[in-house]
Amino acid sequence: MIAHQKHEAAPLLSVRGLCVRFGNGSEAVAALRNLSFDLGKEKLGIVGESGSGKSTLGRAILKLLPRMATLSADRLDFCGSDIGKATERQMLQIRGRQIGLILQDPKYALDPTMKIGDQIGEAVTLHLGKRGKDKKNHVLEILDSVKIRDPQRVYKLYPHQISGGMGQRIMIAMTLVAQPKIIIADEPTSALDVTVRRQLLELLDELVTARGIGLIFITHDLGLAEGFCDRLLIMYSGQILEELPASSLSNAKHPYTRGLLESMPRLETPTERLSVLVRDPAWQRDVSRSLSQ
Amino acid sequence: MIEIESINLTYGHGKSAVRPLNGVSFKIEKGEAFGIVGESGCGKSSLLRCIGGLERGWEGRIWIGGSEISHSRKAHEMRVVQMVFQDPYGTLHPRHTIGTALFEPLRAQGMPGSGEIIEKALSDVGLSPSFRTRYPHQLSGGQRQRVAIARALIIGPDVVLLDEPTSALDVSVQAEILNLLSELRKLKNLTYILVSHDLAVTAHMCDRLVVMNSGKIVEELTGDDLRNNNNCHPYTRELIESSQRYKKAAA
Repeated sequence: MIAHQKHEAAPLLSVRGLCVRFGNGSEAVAALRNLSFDLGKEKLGIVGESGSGKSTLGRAILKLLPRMATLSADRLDFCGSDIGKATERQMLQIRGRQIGLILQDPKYALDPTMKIGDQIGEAVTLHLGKRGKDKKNHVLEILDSVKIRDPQRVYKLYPHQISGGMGQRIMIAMTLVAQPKIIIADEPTSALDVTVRRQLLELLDELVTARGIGLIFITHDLGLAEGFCDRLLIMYSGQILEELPASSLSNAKHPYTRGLLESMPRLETPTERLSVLVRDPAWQRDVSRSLSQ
Repeated sequence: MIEIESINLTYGHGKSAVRPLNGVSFKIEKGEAFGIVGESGCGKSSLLRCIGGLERGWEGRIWIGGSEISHSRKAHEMRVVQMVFQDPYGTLHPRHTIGTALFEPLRAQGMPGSGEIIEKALSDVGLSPSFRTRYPHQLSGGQRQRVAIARALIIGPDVVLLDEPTSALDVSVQAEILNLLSELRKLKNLTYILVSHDLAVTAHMCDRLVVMNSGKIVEELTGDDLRNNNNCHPYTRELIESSQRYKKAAA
């Protein structure tokens, strides 16, 4: 195992006071409230329930928010440049090329009318400028690197002809083409079966660690995040309630994190009744504090 | 309560035929909670649909409550078995109020329906009577799943088929729904068949469960067998291992 370096001198991504609001005036909804965190070459888990703002956070970093959303941040620093102030034209250079995105369901993320090889090939041409035979060889290499057994055959298949697990491998392959510094994975394994999920996580772990990529892993699954990630941010109603190393999740202090952990049924410890999370209105209040430093 | 003998199900003909079910048999006592686990495509939902009367092409024999069920069911046979589906968003008509949705099974069964019956059904699942006039989009996922449970129970079935009832819900909401289901089972002496890919949920809810793979039952276990890793088939072991926490050492 490669020993993990947690906080390096210069983080890949440094976020301070990130706010996202949907709508304007009195009807506006604050989706993200004053978020601050750093990302190094690590696997950072963003954990929360639906509506906690975890996916909005992933999209805010890529500035892929709908037009009705307004984003503001004291700092949104990516490798020395401020994404917060970047124009759309500059973002095109960052999206995909420097910060990759993996979505939940490959069924919707892949173009149903294009062969797998051509789809990955498109990314190869765009990011690496390779064409013709060069391009094809590169695609086959990538398919091989995400452990697809028969790349020649898969190259010619359409998305409906492949399984969900293979589709997600192809999504990872496409993301890796440009050799991004950061990958944002939004629930990448939620649509997969447990046995397939494990293989995919192993693959993602291997590739991310070997290439020194910073991974933002968005999930609702506490158990999964605990085992897979290095560090966790627990989100609730647009704020980070708790930040902690993944290995000490079972010692989490915040009542919300504790409540979530206790409401999960566990194989090892059978109970008659599951404990139910009682939501404290105080969790909604603004927590303005600086994290990560 | 339920007995199933060598159920086969085939879709298509000749070369292109697929067989989601390949000789499945089991027996469930009244008041029992029985679990079916397996990965997608193993036939667990197809099996549930056969028992629920949503599939007609099956072969084999099914007994429910002592009487054998034929392929086309009569209304009184339909009443005995009700189903709760996975997706609380797809399961309710978007332009029907909750009251209308709950009245529908009563109407279909030719049973009397009144405001009180519907309010009783709502309060049984922990919702206030005011939900009667609301529309599905005004409800959260957990509340919708409660409505789906109320709709299944309103005509007083003996067997409830639960097809991944909580996999679309957050863990905190899942806990509420699972507790509700356990309480209702005790209160109304219901028999459950729970289909799930989540071993922990199944072991929590069910006394007995079967593991399915490619249309066949691989193994039958009790919840304790699962916990103690007793007599496990290699496929069951693989499932258990995969659903345990991801360990970095394994990578």
